[in-house]
Amino acid sequence: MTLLYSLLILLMLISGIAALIFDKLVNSIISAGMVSLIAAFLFYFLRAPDVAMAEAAIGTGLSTAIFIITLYKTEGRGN
Amino acid sequence: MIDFLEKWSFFGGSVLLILIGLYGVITRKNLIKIFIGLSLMDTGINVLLVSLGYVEGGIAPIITSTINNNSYNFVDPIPQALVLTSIVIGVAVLALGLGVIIKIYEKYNTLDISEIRGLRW
Amino acid sequence: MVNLILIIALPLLAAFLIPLFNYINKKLPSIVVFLTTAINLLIIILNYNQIILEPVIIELGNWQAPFAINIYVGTLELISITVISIISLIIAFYNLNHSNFSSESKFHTLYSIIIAGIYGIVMTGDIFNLFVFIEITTVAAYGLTTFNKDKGYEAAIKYIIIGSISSVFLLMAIGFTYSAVGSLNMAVIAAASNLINPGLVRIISLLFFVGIAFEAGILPLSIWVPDVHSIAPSAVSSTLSGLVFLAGITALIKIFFNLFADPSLYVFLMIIGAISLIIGELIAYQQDDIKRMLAYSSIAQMSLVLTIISVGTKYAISGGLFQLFNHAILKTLLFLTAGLMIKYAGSRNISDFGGIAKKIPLIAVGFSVGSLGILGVPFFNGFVSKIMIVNGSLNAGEYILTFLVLFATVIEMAYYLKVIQTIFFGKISINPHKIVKSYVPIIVLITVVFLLGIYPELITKPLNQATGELLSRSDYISNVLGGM
Repeated sequence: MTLLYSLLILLMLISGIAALIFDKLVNSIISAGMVSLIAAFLFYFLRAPDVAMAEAAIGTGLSTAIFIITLYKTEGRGN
Repeated sequence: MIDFLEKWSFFGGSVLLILIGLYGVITRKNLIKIFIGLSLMDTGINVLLVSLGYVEGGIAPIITSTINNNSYNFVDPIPQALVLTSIVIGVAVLALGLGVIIKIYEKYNTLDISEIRGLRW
Repeated sequence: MVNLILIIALPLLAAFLIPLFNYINKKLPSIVVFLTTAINLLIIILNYNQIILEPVIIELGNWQAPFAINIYVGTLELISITVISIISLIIAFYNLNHSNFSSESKFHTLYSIIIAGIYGIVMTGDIFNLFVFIEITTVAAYGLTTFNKDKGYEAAIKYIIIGSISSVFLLMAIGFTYSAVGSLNMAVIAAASNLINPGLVRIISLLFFVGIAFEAGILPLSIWVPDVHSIAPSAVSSTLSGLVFLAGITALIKIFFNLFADPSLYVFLMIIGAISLIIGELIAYQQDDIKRMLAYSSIAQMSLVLTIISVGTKYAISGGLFQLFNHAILKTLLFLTAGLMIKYAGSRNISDFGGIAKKIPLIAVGFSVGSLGILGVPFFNGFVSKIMIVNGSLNAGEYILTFLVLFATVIEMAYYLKVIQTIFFGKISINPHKIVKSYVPIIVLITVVFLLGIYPELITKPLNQATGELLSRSDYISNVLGGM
């Protein structure tokens, strides 16, 4: 179980770094959403199911949506 | 090795995530990237807070019909309540910031902070 | 006795009812804000005599002390909320006549939220509640910054980024405190702070400092201040500079004196404050934009307050607190009059204000009174606090600090007198714009300045009591926890 947590945390850190170094903004946003999703899993494993639900809905869903809307309204309009 | 991971993986991982986010905020030039960095910092601090309240072998602090024995070992519910508040505050600030970013794009037609007068620091 | 929680709840309620009132009549929102601030002042006056005798503690939700979120109003908080209510009333009165924003009801909503947040920061006795109120205040301030279509968005982005980073550190501090103590109540933390590992205490206090100092105007974290203050409408600049800084410094004082009283931290605060003081004054001296100059001057003044309070003797702390409240009054006067002068001249540059005093004498006199008060000229309120600061640092044997304070005053004198000279004796070089002259707020503020300058006992007596309360932590703990 501990190894599973550690792997998830490692994956979260890698997604975080990836979100910062990707060139295309869409990829960065998806990576950032990935970080939130893994965090939601971690919350579940930390016995915080309510926080996990909030994080999955707000962090993964809503934030990513806001980012995508911003991207669409700005530089992403062309492509 | 396992002991070390068990003790430090959550603390170390969340602090590292905060530092990664901070690094991104300081070094990236694109405003959307900067706000991605901020949201990484938020996620990191949330994981850190919840892991501070974790009790080894505890159960979720929810009263159900099957489990109502007080001697049960609950994890600490207060950090979880704090994190719920902090998630909501975080997304509110994020939405406000991204709204301002859209306005800035309409004015300058770019999101690169090195090209925006009054944002270079 | 009227329940003190009302002074937080009323502005919040007003804030969310304002869009409704705006529907009925466009003039109504500003009147509603004025009325709520007036009622707040009334509530505080009604409670004043009781709180000065003994601190009032309100526990929310009918729970006992360690579990409830409590509101603690001691003498320091009492003086703070009195000053806040007077100044917010004056600014609300100013807003009655100066409502030419395109989206006016939103402005008044955000202004009410800021006022509620400031009261909360000052009065709360729970560190997570402190975080929530700080966020309420800053998010409303982000919104108010964007009202200027010219450069408001850039300033707002800067403010949001720095504010978010600081709030993460504040949350980290709260998390570590909670895991070390097991409670979020300030009194419980204060009672347990001797039992925590001293190294951890230092780390936590540093994190608290990083988290709150950006709201209190201490330099390394306050690089957003000049941008935001110079761009926001002058009613907002004076709120941010006078009231939000006051609340931030009060929160820092509570953290560093009530929660963790570690003398080695005071040295750190003193050094940071002194550096920030000198740098702030030097940059202010170079500014030509009058609002930027005032903003840097605010940074310097806040650093002065922080340094002098961290000397730690009773006399020095009273002097620092007195300077804090003086600054709130004087900077409100300065920002309001500077805003009117900018509108009249149609320019922000000091060099364009030549001879403006002959056209709008009262506004120019108001600005001069504010400047002389900050400099500490006799018969102005700043005089007494400057004397107390210099005496306090000398008596504590901090001679370098005394020298730095006097040096900073000399720089201050150079740039404030330059402005006064320009507005009174400079050559007239502008074609004036029409402005709405509002004399009442300026006259009231000038009266307060002279009142405190001639009768300083009005505020020094409660201040001495507040300092006594700050320095006796055991009383604070037993007040809240009730002899536990």
